[in-house]
Amino acid sequence: MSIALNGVRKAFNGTPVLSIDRLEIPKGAQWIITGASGSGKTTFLNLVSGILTPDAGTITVGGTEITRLSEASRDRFRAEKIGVVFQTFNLLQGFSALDNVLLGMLFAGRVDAGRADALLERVGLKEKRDQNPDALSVGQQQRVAIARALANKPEILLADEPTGNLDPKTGESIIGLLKEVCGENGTTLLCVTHQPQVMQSFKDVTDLSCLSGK
Amino acid sequence: MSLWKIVLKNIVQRKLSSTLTAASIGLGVAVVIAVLAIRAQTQEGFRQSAFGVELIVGPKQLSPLQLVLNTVYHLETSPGNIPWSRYRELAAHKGVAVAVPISVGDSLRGARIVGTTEAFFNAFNLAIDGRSFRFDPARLELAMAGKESSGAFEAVVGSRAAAQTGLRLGDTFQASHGVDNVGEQHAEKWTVVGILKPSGTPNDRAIFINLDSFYEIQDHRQSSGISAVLLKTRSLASGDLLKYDLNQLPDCMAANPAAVMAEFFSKFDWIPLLFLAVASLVVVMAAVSIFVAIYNSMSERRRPIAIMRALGARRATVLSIVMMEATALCAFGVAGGLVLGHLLTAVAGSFLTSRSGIPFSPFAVQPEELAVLAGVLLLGALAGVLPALKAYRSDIADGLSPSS
Repeated sequence: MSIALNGVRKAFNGTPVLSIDRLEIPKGAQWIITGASGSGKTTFLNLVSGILTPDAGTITVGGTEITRLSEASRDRFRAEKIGVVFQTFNLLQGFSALDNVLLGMLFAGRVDAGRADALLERVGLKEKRDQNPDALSVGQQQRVAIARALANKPEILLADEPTGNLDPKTGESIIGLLKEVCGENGTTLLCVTHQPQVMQSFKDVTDLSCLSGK
Repeated sequence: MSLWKIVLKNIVQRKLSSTLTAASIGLGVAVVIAVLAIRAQTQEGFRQSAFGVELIVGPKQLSPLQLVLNTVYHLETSPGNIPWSRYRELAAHKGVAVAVPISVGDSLRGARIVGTTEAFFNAFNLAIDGRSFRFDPARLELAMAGKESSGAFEAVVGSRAAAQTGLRLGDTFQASHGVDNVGEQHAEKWTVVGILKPSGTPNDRAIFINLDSFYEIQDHRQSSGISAVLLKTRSLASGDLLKYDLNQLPDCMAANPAAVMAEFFSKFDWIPLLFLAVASLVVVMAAVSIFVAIYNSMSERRRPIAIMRALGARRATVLSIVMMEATALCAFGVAGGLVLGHLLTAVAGSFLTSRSGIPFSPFAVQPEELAVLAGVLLLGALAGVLPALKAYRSDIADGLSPSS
């Protein structure tokens, strides 16, 4: 699924955060999005996923201009087409690894326990399916988050500093896993990071500081 | 995975708060249910057990309520008599279908002793294990006149009275003077010839003896008065007319037990209403506690809500989850309250039955009960509206920010 941003502007409380005249990301690409602190990296992901709407400009994802959709339609679009991985994992405490993956399916209306099990097996956590997040290592928690992000066969996977809370070795394996699973399914991967070792493993790196002229 | 699973997880994660909130709802509901059941069943019990007795004729010095309580419910005392001749007039009256004389004033280990005729059991459809006693009108007339006579001293014992006193068929007993268990014991001995099958009426608590034997008691001889006459009339109109005529006489009065009890309950209807008001207040306070518990937890729910929204949950979905949680907490309380309320009814009912003979069905569902349960569930859902709106309005990006 391709992504196109045209004339996108976003400000918070009158302070400009992001300004992109034109950016096109082809279907199946694996891109690093980087930039200095405050360059709008997380805002960029939130705009692409429809969590935020731009003050100006259009965002088209897979031919759908999401900036024209109602909030409920954007929520549905996000549930069905976009997977998200966070720096802090954002797993729901009190829910098992399996439940967290099923939760990702629930809001798209596609609860499938068999697929959730298969995803946990794919990320190497078959034996941990019934464990709660607090019983898992940080690396395992991020793997659960990846399985959850893949729950609805997303066409785009957005990863916001996915290795930010991990040691280098674990981070490397997580990035490897993200690239691998996205590659297997032709999923477009946008990975926000400021870590050089992560950037080195990607061919395409886009610096938002340059794009926004900051 | 379903929204209900999320709701239950949320409730379980806040065990203490959830338990206390549901318990407070449960207590309120229990009191409401118990009060409704006891009020309805008491009134129905008194109304039904008076059924069959259309008029009671007794001495003028009693109030109608005293007369009814004394003759139908075997409560209170009866400090007066009406002449035996009045019974004979009533028995011969063309508007009277059945006239049953009764005389009271003695007891056995707390159970009231009622002197009457076999007509009592037939008139009020009381079945007997064993047989009825034999009533001898000629012997009664002799005893009342203070003349020597002889005959049976027989008793039919109510089912509860039998359990209370331990009397069984063939046993003999001596009655005590008075109803407060401290009077002197009479010398005469009665033999138990029958045990009443449980009737669910105050008659279960009494011991019935043949009226002629009642006047054989040394202290009762040469008395020509009886405590009261229970009447069944041939028609409503003849009953009303008879009641009017009897109330004009200088030595007696007539009371309709159903009307007397209805008037009695109307005077005290504020008591259950007061209980209901207090219980309703408890339920409302519990609903407020649901609101407070959920509203206070909203700051710690910001991140989970934001995560769900980031995963594609709509605003309406998170609104539903919070409202479902409030309703579920309320439903747990209602379910607990339902069980506790009926257990309370069983305990209170058993106490009231032992005192009045009125039967209670602790697990009978009152029609108002369903309305109360639905109302409380609605109240619980309403308690979730404000927290749910807060969840509805929460900002995803804000909730996901590291400071959240």
